[in-house]
Amino acid sequence: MKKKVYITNSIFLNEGFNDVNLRDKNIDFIGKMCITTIGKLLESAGDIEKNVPVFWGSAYSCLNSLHEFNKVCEKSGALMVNPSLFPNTVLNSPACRAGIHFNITQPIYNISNGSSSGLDALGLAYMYIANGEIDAAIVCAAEEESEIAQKIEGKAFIQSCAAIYLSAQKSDLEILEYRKDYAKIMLLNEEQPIYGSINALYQIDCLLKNYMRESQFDIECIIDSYKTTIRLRCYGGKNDRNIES
Amino acid sequence: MKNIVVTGMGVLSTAGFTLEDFWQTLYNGRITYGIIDEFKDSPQYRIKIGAKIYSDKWAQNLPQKIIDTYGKAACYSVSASLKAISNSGIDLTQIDKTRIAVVIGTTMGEIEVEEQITKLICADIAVNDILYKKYPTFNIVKAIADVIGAKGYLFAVPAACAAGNYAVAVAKQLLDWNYADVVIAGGVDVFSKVAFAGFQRLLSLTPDLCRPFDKNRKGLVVGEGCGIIILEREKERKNQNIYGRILGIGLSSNAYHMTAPHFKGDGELSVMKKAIDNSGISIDDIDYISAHGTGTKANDRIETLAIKNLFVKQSLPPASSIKSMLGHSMGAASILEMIACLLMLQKNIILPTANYEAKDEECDLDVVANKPRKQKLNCVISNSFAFGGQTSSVVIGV
Repeated sequence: MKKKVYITNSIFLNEGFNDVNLRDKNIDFIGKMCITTIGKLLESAGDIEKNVPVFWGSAYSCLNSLHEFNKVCEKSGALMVNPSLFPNTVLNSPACRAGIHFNITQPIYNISNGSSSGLDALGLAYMYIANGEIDAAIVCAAEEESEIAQKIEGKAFIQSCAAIYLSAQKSDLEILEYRKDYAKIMLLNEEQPIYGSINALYQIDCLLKNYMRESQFDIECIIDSYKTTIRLRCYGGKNDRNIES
Repeated sequence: MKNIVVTGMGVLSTAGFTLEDFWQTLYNGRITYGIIDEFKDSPQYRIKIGAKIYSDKWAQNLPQKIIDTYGKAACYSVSASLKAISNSGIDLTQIDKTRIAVVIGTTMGEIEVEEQITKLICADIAVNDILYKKYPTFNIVKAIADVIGAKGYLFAVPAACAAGNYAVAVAKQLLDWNYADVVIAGGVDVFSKVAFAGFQRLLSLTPDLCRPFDKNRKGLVVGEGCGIIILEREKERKNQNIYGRILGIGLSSNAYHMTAPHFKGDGELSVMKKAIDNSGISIDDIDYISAHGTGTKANDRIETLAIKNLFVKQSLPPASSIKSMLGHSMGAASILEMIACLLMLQKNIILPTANYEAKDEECDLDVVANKPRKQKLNCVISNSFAFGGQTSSVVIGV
């Protein structure tokens, strides 16, 4: 018997990441993005268990920090790299920076599934709660804007970070299903050029904050022929706003 | 709940490209690292030793389209996956492809592609779009899925040096919860100049040999490779070739430091306890420890402390680290060590820690030194600890 899984809180940010005052000056920008966003999520969530597993999605993760580190190596030589910045070059670094900051001793699952990274991080967290392995999870997705990421992606995108608190505690938004198959893409809102991996969590943030009429939604992402779907049910309770669907 | 069994394995390592070569290299205690050609005459590399694959024979089983389309990490992963599928005897025409999942761990993904891009940018040379498209980390799982035809759940799971164990943890859950029938799981990293430069500046590299748990150990050796295993539920397919069972997994975060192990080994101890608890066995049942054993002062001392805090009332089982021969293959390390454990379970032989000469009182484990040891093995534990404080242990049984 699967447990029901609910989204109890969410946050979406695309600015204010440098406002956070950190003792460790070696934390890179995407690390700050995660710390800022998860911090605001935990603040807004009130009396909840904070030491829970983290499921973190990002297509490019710390690519910018890695690239800058490597440029020093390439231009000035291997002996000139700053060893304090070396930890920022591993792909699990941003989420682990946040885990250390918030004293999280639970596992941190990093997902790098291109533009479906956020959706897959959410889906994997859903599986872990639905099957009774864990009671709650923090789901986060982040993409840092950088010249190299944009060149690889072939287009510009707004750097942003989103986080969601997921648990078996009843709320107005339930996850019904997470699946992989084939079909066309459907997004609720394409007003902002947010990178795909954040988009799913952004849509959920919009749903939670603005559109809570009783209804059912699919949030989908397609990479080549691989389609990821999260099916949601809203139970109503808030004013609805006109969102393309 | 059914047992999760390993039914196929594929390796791509400095120790060999086949399971037989991999075993023979490690059994004979052969060192697979040496002076890196490109560092030999460079004053920027005071340390010259690394474990790099120079032969291109590893690519012989790859379709040319894969070589042209993807970076080296994806190509390594496809090559090892094809070997693992072949080793498992799975007939892909008889399997529902929507029930095949792929979960691969890595530290730096397509780092060699990034290094090529950076080199061109720093030289003011235009970068070809084809090269840019080879970078995304997701390519690693997508390439495997494309070649195998897998249409189930796909996850690229970066978790630094514990990445292979994290991939197996997710894979096991997908099977336990019946989201897949077959999971291709593993870990990969290619030789990285960035990793080498970073570890050199952290003073973590040995100038000569990797000597885990030895009093005179001087550090780790940067390496590369890929290991892939095929996981299934036991008895769900005819003629399963069972190498071993994934009995239990423990994952944790140190919440302490990005590079240093916890000073009391708390995270390291907690994952071993979790893995044993999840296995439903007792501590006494552990016959052997495949140590993380990087050969650095800090890791080996703290890992010893954690192991001794686990086996408080029990006698210490033998331990060894094949990193003494392979170097540290980063995202591939934990899965190559798991494959070595599975082979040890099959053969009832413990692979040695090479280069072990002087006992360190702070690392007073029963180190299987320099020569393999014959011993009946039913249950072993494999440790991997990573940057970011990501710790992991896996209990594997016959």
